[in-house]
Amino acid sequence: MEEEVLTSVQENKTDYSSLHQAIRAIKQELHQIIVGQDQLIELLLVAMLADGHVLIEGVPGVAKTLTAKLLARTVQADFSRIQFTPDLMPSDVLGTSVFHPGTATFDFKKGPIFANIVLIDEINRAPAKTQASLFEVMEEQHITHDGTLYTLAAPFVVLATQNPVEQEGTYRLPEAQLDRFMFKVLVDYPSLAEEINILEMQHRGADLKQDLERVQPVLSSEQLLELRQAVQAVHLDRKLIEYIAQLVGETRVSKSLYLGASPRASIALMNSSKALAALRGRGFVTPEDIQELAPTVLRHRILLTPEREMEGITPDDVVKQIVQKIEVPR
Amino acid sequence: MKAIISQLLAGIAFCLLCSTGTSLYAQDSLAAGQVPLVVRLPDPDKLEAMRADKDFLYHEVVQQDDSFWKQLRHKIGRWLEETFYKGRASGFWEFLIYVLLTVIVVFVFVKMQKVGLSELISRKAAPAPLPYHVVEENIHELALDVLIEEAIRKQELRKAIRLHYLQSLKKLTDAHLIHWLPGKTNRSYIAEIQHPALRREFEQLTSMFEYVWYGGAGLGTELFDTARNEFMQFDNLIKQHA
Repeated sequence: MEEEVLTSVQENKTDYSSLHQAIRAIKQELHQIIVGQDQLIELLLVAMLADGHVLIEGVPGVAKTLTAKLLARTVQADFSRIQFTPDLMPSDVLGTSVFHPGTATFDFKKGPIFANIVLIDEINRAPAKTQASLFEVMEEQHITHDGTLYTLAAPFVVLATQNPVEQEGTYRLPEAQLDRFMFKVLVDYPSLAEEINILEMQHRGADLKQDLERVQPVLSSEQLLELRQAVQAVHLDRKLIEYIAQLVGETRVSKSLYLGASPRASIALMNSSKALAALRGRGFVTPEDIQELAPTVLRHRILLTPEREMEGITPDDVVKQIVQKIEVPR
Repeated sequence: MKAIISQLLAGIAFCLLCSTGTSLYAQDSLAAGQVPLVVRLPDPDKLEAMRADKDFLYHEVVQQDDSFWKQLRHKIGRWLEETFYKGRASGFWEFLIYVLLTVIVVFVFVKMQKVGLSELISRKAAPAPLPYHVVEENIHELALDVLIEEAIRKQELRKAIRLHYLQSLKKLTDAHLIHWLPGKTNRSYIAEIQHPALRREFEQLTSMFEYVWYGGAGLGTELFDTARNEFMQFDNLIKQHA
């Protein structure tokens, strides 16, 4: 009987089954090589559907770079990889003017940022000067060089990896740059069963280079843009918009926080919730979608007070408290 | 050999000590015998002048006709004087008292203004109240039956579905099958239900409620009646498992 009601009320809704299938195909391709990391893969896909950039943090050797590289392979689009080093200059990322003797003019040589999917490896090893060069391009998807505007082709996704800031030779990213990342995904060590699986694969003589070649593109960049449009059509009720605003607003008045989240965080939470709903084959957002993504969207945008930091409380703890405090709209 | 030298040195030292003592005793005996004693008395005029001088008044006389507050002030002043100044008046103690008094006054003022001390020290400004009013509903205080009938009468069928769902949550809470908290989601409540049949039914109702309430789906009277029946059957199921 309920099914009858559900079928009826779902009439005239956008069909998200094709999106759901495409995402499942991408996951299958990735799991040919990646063992575990389901949450990381799902969040990367959500960010790609919601037109957001992702910062992946984890200790060395937990397949951060490999996952990002493989995801880029599943989408048929321009891909580039930049290894951030302490001596990297902004021009190494964005591009530079080169004198052309034949015409006696300066030509702009585009940097590696001009791609659809950019993997920035170990982003926090470059100093603030180089980080600042990413501000404009990450937010506005264009760069200004010598007074000329260069627009990047859509889709434009930055997948950046970083080691925890406590590690040697790393810098803390500026707040303005952190805010430009839709998600900060924390990658943990694999479980015991997953680690055994990894070891068995290596023991059998798995060749990573050959395996990488096996991964086939599932989507073209045009298809990705179409899926993004479908995500835009996901229904978000007014009550849930208010709920998102309340959650983010609470970070600005919380006594545990020195810096709250920006309106950009609200937008990121809204768009990513819509993408998650679509990814799960739903045409509307539920409070679960919002609650599930709140830590990933907010953890890098908030700063704890020194007292809370000394008590060993993490940004995730504060976000959890806020989520528990605000009433779920029904 | 060493023992002989040390005994010799000790003997010389003893002889020198005895000789010095004898000469001193001789000098004292001479002075006492030759100089006559003169008894000196203070000048009575000078004594009177000093008695009249305010600087030499060591006993403060409290006027008996002073008010209660003046007497209290004198007593506190004397107590402070006796506690901190008696015999050891110094700039340090005076400074310390002033610092302590200032700290107490500032502390009382800050507490009266309801300002956190950490906020005064840190760079962060005091948190402002939320710029909107957050309405919190307590399902246990709502007359849900009345509200459902009213919603049906007004043909607000989506609202009626919502109220039915809230009623189911209330009944589950009353039957101690779930633990109601404002921050919990519907899926959290589903996970809390232990009985498989009840959980399955509630999951179905939740999906329907979510499609209607969060999904913005419209409902006709016929569909609403079907949904309402489902809610009523679920209520009976709760009674069985309560």
